[in-house]
This record gives sequence, C-alpha cells and structure tokens, in this order.
Amino acid sequence: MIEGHILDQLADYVLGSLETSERGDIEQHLAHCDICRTEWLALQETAGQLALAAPSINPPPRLKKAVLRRVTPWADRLKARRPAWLTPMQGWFQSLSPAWAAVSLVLILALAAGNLLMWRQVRQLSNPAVAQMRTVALVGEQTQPQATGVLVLTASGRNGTLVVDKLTMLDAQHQYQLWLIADGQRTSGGVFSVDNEGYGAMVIESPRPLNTYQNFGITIEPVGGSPGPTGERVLSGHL
Amino acid sequence: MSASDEALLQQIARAETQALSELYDRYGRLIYSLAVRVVGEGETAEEITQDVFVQVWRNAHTYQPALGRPVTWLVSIARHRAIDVLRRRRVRADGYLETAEIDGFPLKIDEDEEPEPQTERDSSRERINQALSRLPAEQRIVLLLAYFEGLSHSELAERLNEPLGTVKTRLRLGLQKLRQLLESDDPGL
Repeated sequence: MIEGHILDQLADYVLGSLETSERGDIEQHLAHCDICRTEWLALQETAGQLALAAPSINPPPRLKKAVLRRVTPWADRLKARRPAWLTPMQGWFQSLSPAWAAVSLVLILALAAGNLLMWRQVRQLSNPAVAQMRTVALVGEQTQPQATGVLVLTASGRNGTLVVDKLTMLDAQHQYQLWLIADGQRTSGGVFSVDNEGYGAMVIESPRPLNTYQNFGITIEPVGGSPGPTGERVLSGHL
Repeated sequence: MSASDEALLQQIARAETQALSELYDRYGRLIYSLAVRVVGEGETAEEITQDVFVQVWRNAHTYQPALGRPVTWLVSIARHRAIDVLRRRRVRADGYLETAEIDGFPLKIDEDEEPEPQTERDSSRERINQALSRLPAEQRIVLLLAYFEGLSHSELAERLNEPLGTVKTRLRLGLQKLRQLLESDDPGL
C-alpha cells in the first residue's frame, strides 16, 4: 500500500515502463485516490496523442473488408436471436403516411433528447469526482526541473487543493507560496512547506473562484509569505 | 450530422456492423499507422489492426467514458497489442529487434501503401510533432522509445547506456512537459 500520492510515478505507469512488480501498488492506489486518478487520466490522454507521431500510412483497402468479415458471424447470430415481433413492427412503421412519420420522428427525437439528458446525469453521478474535477499541471522551472505539482479544482471552481512533489526542502526561514494570477495581478493562495522528500499539500485559500485565474506560480518567500512574489519561481502552470 | 464516437460505441455494443464500419473509417488509418510504427512492417500491422477492431466489437459495452475518450481507448488497445507482438519477437530473437530509427523514424513500408492524403487529423499530427520538437532531445528520445517500443526502465537504461535514475527523470519530465505544451494554446510558440 502506498502512503501519500504517487504523482511522480504516473508517467511511468501510463507509458508501461514500470516493472511488473511495481504496477500492482499503483493500481491499488489509483482505485481509491481521486487526485492521482485525475492526474493519471490527464497523462493518459497526453500519451494517447503520441500515436499521432507515427507517420500516417493508408491501410490497404482489403483490411476493412477483413475486419467486417470477422465480425459478421457475430452480428448474424445476434440478429437471429431478436424477437419475432420486431419484424411486423418494422413493416408497420414503414407503412405510416409521411405526416405520421414526421410526428413519430419528432416524438422519437424528444425521447432521445430526454434519454441523452438522463444519460449525462447518470454518467456524472456515477463518477462525480473524476468527471467534474479539473486539474492544472505545474511544471518545474529551471532552478528545480525535477519538481512537479498539480492543482485539483472542484467542479464549481470555488475550492481546490495543491499537491507538490520533489521540491527542495527549504531552511526554517523560508516557505513556498502559491500565487493565483489573473490579468497580471498576483494573489496569494497560501504558504506551505515540504518534507524531506519534497512532498507537500495544502488546501488553497482564494478570495474568488479558482477557475477565474489564468495562471498559477509558486515562489520561495520568507516564512509566512509575502504580499507579492519576491523570490525565485519554482513551479508554474496555467488553466 | 455524424454520430459521436461514443454513440458509435453504443451502436457497436448492440452489434451494429455499420457503426463499426464508420469507426474504422475514422480511426483505421491511425491504428494501422501506429501498428506499423511499432512492429515495423505492414503484414503484422494488418493483423494487429484487425484484432483491435474485433476487440472493440466484442468489448464496446465495457467502454467507460469517465476513463477517457474513445480514441484514447482504441489507441491504448492497439499499442498494447502491438507491443505484445514486439516483445514476443524480441524474446525469439534473443536480443533487440532492429526497429525504426527513433528520432525521425524512417520506416519500411509495403509498396502498395501510399502516403495519406491531407485530412483534418493533419492539424493534430502537426501539433503533436511540433510539441515533441520542443522537448529536449534526450527527453524526446526516451519518451518515443518507451511509447513505441514499450521498453521498461531497465531496458531503456541499457539501450541508452544511461543510469536508471536519469532515464526515469527524463521520461517523467518529458511526458509532463508534453502535456503542458499540448494544453497550451500554441505548442509551436
């Protein structure tokens, strides 16, 4: 079982570069940690786009035919199992006048729209944490390129959590400070320290919804924080 | 209006072959190209592409929108399948298979395979290539090796003759930086 978060192992997990023995722990952790799971999904989308880096080649036309040939027996078997009453119903619909057909179409579309709405609601309810949260990746600046971080924002954008990893542990006179940036104005989102592994987390303090800020940065400041950034920037990201 | 990818998967789950045909039209080229890139030749890539779409046909009902877009799901199936083939070959060859050159990757292609005509997916392709070109070369190489050849940390370290820790750091930084570039408005700037 892994304590804390596993943000620095997710890239390896997504790319399948971990040894088999390491994968089990990661999977266990992802099953119950929303923060890491949200980050994992985002990295998976990025990795998926690497497929587009392969030179694009037209498949031979015979390939599509071969695919469809392989699935046709399944489709035929399923059709054969459909209830017999469906066939006369099909004929009845075909015999409707154009006016009734139009009315039927409107009804069907209304039902479909209702279903779609319900389906969306069910989908959101089935996994609200992952479906509605937003994340902002924070990347290490030149001074601390090994550092990583992520901001996890709630669906409303009003609240959020910061998780950082691999930041240098500071002396007792300094702390890290999060800056929320909108239209060039910097507002403090809170100060925090990291442990000897560079890991730290905090709930973000913000006078307004977090999704109204465009950029986020973390600087080194005197302990307790500063009214505006004075030290070097170590992590940054944008929404 | 054409059906969304999610709608096509729902139709496929109801055994509608027309939906699979449409999904193939959208992504067949991408999946085949990925397979060729990984295994290095067209004949095996054709088998892999067939297997991917048959797997989608059989498992469309298991697709979960909360776990990613349909195309990400398809690509993930294809990559795993292709890398499985590659690993089995490596075992048989008792050593590294001479695959495509990594940075620039020229490929051996069957004569009846022609370059793709210009499509709307070209902009996405240009975007990823532009983003990749902005990564430091050592991060780009390790990322492409891991993605297209499925090498583990220790295999990457051995192949590149670099310490294990260096390889791990490059891989992690490379993917994170790539994500940031792709999420920004213009990865080319």
